Amino acid sequence: MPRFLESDLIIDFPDDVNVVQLEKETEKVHGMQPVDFIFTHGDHTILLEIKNFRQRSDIKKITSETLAKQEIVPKARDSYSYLHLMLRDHNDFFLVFLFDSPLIEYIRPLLPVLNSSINRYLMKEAPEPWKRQYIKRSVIMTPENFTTYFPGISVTRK
Amino acid sequence: MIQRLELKDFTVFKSLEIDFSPGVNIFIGENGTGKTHVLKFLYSVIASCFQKIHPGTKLNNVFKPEASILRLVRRELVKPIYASFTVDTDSDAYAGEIFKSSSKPSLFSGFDKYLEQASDEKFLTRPIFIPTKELLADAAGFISLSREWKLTNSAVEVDFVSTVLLPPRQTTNSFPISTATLKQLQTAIGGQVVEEDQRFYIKDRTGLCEFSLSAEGHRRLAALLILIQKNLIDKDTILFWDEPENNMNPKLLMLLVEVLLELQRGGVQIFLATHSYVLLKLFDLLKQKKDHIQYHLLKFIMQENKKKKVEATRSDDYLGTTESAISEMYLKLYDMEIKRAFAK
Amino acid sequence: MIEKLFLSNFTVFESLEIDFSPGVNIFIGENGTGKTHVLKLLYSVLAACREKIHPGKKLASVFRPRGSIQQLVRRAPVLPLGATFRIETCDDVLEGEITKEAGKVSGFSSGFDPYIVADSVEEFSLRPVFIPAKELLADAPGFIPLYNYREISNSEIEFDFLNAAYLPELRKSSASAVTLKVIDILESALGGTVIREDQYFYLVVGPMKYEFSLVAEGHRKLAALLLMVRNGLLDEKSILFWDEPEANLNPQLLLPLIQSLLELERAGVQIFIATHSYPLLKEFDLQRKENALRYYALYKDEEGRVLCNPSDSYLYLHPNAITDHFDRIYDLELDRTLLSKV
Repeated sequence: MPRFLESDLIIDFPDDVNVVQLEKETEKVHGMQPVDFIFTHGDHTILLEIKNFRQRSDIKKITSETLAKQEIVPKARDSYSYLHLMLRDHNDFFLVFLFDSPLIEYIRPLLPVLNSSINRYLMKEAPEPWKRQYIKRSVIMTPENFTTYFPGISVTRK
Repeated sequence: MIQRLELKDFTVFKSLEIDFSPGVNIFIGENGTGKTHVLKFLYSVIASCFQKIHPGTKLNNVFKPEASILRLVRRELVKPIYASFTVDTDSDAYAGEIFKSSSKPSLFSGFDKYLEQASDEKFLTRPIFIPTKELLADAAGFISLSREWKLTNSAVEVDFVSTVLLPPRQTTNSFPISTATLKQLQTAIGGQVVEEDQRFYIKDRTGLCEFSLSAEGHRRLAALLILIQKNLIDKDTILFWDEPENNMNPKLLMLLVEVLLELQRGGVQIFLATHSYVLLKLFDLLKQKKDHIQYHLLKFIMQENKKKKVEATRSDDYLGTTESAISEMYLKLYDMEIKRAFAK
Repeated sequence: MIEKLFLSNFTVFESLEIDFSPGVNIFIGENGTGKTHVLKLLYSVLAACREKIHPGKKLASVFRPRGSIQQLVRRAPVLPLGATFRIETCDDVLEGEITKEAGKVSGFSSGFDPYIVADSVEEFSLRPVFIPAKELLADAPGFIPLYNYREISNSEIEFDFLNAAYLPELRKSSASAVTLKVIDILESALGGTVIREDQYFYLVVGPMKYEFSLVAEGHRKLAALLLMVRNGLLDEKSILFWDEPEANLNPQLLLPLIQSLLELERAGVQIFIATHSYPLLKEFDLQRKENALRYYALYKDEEGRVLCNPSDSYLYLHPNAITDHFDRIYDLELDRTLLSKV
């Protein structure tokens, strides 16, 4: 059972899921910052980025524009570039942003809006929109609902 | 169905060109960008043919400008001198010019064959406009008032109440929504809608509850239900609804969106103006692959001469609307909430 | 200010007891939970005293039941014999009973007498102002005489509002600092000002004058508040009732609206609002400074009885029909993205 530690969370994957920490593969590539994990789920490849915002200093990173534009989308884009160059991009890609924060209770109703912001940058970062839709869909999840949609993968707090 | 609209120098629009979807057309934009005007204008054109009323008269009765429709020409100091439009449907083409100067009469073309009282040309398309003010609490009273006095109410309000009071229509067209959905509507409203002596009631276990004492949101759904039950909404209908979200709790909106999508599948072309994030999101989440939805975003653009003009962008995709003032506002709420939470 | 309300068997309420905030009171709840009825009842009772008319008559002309105010008694399988209400203000206790019993007449307590009895001179200290959900300023011309002359079935709230809108403006010299500040906020949001010529209202932007029938409904909404403030109707003796202020407003215009209301509250105006809007709730919560604010969640229990949960904090407002539904939308999005066959 592959087990990983990311911020305050322990994530256990079942044995039959092929999960990879891309960072190990890309560490020598200058300037490439991938998402935390990739794994296969049915016909899809999931790019999983986990963020834990607890410090005061995190506030700048967590505002809607910075979060989407600087924290998440560039990592998704880099991950796609890497997998594309390695001919590992056959499946459709989904981006899952696992948002772990005590703030969730204040902003849960607004998560779909934040997701639209992520989608906006996934479609367009340069003056011209991308010609290729490299991520099929994105969602924002919390540790509480993660297992509902990915049965077998457990997310618990340290 | 209405396919295309071109407006020049009409109310707030310098120049507007829109190709419409045969399904649901949703207009979004800040107050003052002309959403309601587009809906009212399209309605006026179709209703003019349907009711056999001269288009100039219909525009006047719908917009209620002071004095005359000359006031509908875009207000800049000297130019423009006239407003013009073309509307293309699948069977006809309409056009017109409205001059600012009272010495030049307005010109309309494409309408004549329907306006003739003795004409054989059957105009099949029924336009229905559901206004933001639903006056059904005393429908008959309002109609008799409007017949006796020159009220300032827009014709869309009078037309709507008159339509709801019509007797059920004989038709061979099938019901545009399923029995199951009809039942859902009734459950949400709290009972069946009943009409007695031109007054409306909601009938539940305890009896008849008059409209004036029912929740406004329920009344609006009830109005829709009445129209469907009387066969006044079917595949030959074009439905215009200005801000369907008013008085609706988000839970009720979900049912409303499902009903509208079903009507669209039944062949009804729909035009909506909205301010509601929930409505937009629900359309995006509840639509099926075969549904046609198009978003028309109206925005103010600052020109070099420091004057604002309205521009329309069209998008098939909900995400294309994320540039709108509505989603920007919600993102702002998110940012403020985060800031405040961190400050604690 | 209005301090307390007790209701029994009135419209959808079996029993209701509320202690109000001296500041802003916000009601949420699904359609049919009686939000508007609470506002209308409070308004009717206060307006009756202010206008020196019989409360039964005012209730009838505000609620417009067909027949008589007996229709306001709660409809249930076992019919209650009557409805009662009790409103406590800082100076008065106003009670009434609407009876369904044959042969009995509805009664209103002696608390009303100082104001409504034929030769009374005492003036009611509170001034209720109700801004209706249906914005009427474009249809104002002719409405008042028609209402007076004919039996129109519009709620008298609309008539009262238009009468207030037609009052002359206060002189700037006698306007308070708060009044001037709020006028400024609203005029900035409108991009112009509102004028009246004869019976017609216009929005004036630069050199352009737009008749209200052509002005955006959301702008007319802001104009409604502007007129009430400018005509000197909203001061510390006033109680403002506003049913769904968010209707027709693009969410961006909510901010100036809410800022204005919070300024007015600080100046002593007690405010009652019924709403369906998440951004409105959120903005109130985010913008409030030292404002007195209380929320009320109206909801139906398993037996269909309407209950009320008050809360001074937005986060603990429960059940929150609005955010519950936003949560539902969030879940729908997850389902659609991750579970459906793409």
